Amino acid sequence: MNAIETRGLTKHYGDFTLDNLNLTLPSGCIMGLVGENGAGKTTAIRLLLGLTRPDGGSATVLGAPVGPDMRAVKEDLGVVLDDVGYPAGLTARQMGKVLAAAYENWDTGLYESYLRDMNVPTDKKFSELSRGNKMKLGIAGALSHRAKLLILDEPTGGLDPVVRDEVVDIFGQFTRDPACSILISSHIVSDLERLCDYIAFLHKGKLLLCEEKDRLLEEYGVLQCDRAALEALAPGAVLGKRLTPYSVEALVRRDAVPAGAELRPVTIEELFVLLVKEDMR
Amino acid sequence: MKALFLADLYQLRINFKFYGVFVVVAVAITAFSGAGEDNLGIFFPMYAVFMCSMMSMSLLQLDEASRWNVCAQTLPCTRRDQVTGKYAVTLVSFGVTWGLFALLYAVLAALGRMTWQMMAVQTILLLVMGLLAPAVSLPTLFRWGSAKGRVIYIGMVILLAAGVGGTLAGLARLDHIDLPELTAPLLAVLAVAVPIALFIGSWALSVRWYEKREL
Amino acid sequence: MTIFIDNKSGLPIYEQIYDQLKSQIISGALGEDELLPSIRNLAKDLRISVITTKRAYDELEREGFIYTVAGKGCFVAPKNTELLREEHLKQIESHLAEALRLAAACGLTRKDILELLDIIEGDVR
Repeated sequence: MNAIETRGLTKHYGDFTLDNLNLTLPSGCIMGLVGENGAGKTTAIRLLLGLTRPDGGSATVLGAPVGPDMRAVKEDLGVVLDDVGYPAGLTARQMGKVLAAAYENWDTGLYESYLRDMNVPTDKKFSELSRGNKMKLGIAGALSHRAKLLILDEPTGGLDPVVRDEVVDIFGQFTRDPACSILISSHIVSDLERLCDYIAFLHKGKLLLCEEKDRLLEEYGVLQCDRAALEALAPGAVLGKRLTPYSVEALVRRDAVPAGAELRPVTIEELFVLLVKEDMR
Repeated sequence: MKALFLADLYQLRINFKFYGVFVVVAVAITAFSGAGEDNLGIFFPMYAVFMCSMMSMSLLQLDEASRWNVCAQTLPCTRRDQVTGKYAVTLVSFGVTWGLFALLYAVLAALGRMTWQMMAVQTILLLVMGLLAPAVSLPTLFRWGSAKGRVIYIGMVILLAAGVGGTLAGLARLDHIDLPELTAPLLAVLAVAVPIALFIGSWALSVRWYEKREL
Repeated sequence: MTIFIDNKSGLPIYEQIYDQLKSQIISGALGEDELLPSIRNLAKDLRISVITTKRAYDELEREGFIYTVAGKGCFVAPKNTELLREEHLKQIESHLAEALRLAAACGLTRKDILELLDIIEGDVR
């Protein structure tokens, strides 16, 4: 059973459309959903959580169809929204009691150990916590009820590099269990680069690609050359480029480039930026 | 559902620290003024009960500001749970306040400072006010959000004022009319049953409307 | 067991793991029938994708360096002399090819190369 499956998922808003999203997250894997602000990541997540109704297509989460009644599935779902959304006046301790009442499999000991390890103050009101602590609290809440799928919307935004590293580590540990999967949306690509098994690029509501991260890194490379060499390349080999007065950096398909050409490895971040820039041209 | 209700209770506790002072003041004023005959006697209790039963409106506004209303839907809780939690919290905050005043009136009546008839009338009036206000406003808030809530609140305050005026006029007349034996108790029963029925109906309507709403 | 991942090299990560494990198996650093970390745990410990480690292990198994016991895990295959010979032959071929390429670049004849070979053999002995 796939952790997440969408078929032709579509949603129209006034000036934006999430168009025909086809995404599959196999069980036990981590997928990074990459996209600029407004690309549709949050819309996709809201659809997957049944917070809003699709205008077309369908989706399943942990095998259950997505819709207004996802009560049973949500027992196995850990969610952290980009602003976490806990009640302003509640402390971490009180929130723990609320979540304990909400989830059948809540593990208070685990929750407290997460709070301790991440240094989250337990008796401060939620509104008084720093952005980083709010996020960490949300993560502790999502990880303490034996969820099988984590859905995270921009969980590392606003966090300093040390905390980001901690948090990414925690997600990695979560998936030691082969039944556990993660969908994580972010526009900070470098965090996802290390962690993810699959990468999906969303741009202006459309899915540009969705592939195994390793294959992406193998399929594409960056060719540093001069303009003449750029012209000489086969059509369709170049997917994006960056021109300076002295050089050309071209994002190319490795198999479309003459053998012996020196390609340097591409990062997921570069890949995304160059693809989007090309699309915007 | 228990989870959301618990969260609401925690939030209520924080708010009550402020409102609680007002309630205590209202109780004190009512206790020492001539309860039942003049305006103050009826106004403060009514406003206190009204405010406390409208507490759920503040909670809804807080929920929207913190986006807890969205986050709650990522938990295994239904929209119906969200609505029920708010109605339950309304009952709690209304119940505590109304209970205080009912007790106060009973004490005043026992002490002879108030007729039993007056006590019954005022207690029932408070019940009606306390249940009607949220019964009318909550479905609107669930359907259209708390931005409209402020408008509703003002509308309710106006209605309250009208209610107070009408009640005073009615009370003045009551003393001069000889009611048939059974009418008074019957009216009393109706006056209690109808708001309760409306409250329950309001809950059902809120559930229906909220389930359809796009957040 | 020691594994280093170099994110900056052009070499795919699964290949880096494959190479390093292979050489440790050949050199004997990893003993026969030694239990290897599970695909998942290795991935999480190295902080890389599970798909990557799976690929490395699949490749090692295909080449006969490791074997899997269902429910127990992956183990180092007993030293297979045939396999070792194959492996060494491959390396010799690639070294020789490189030597010939370099020789061609400085214009050495076959005779020159064979003379060189004699000298080196003498030194080695």
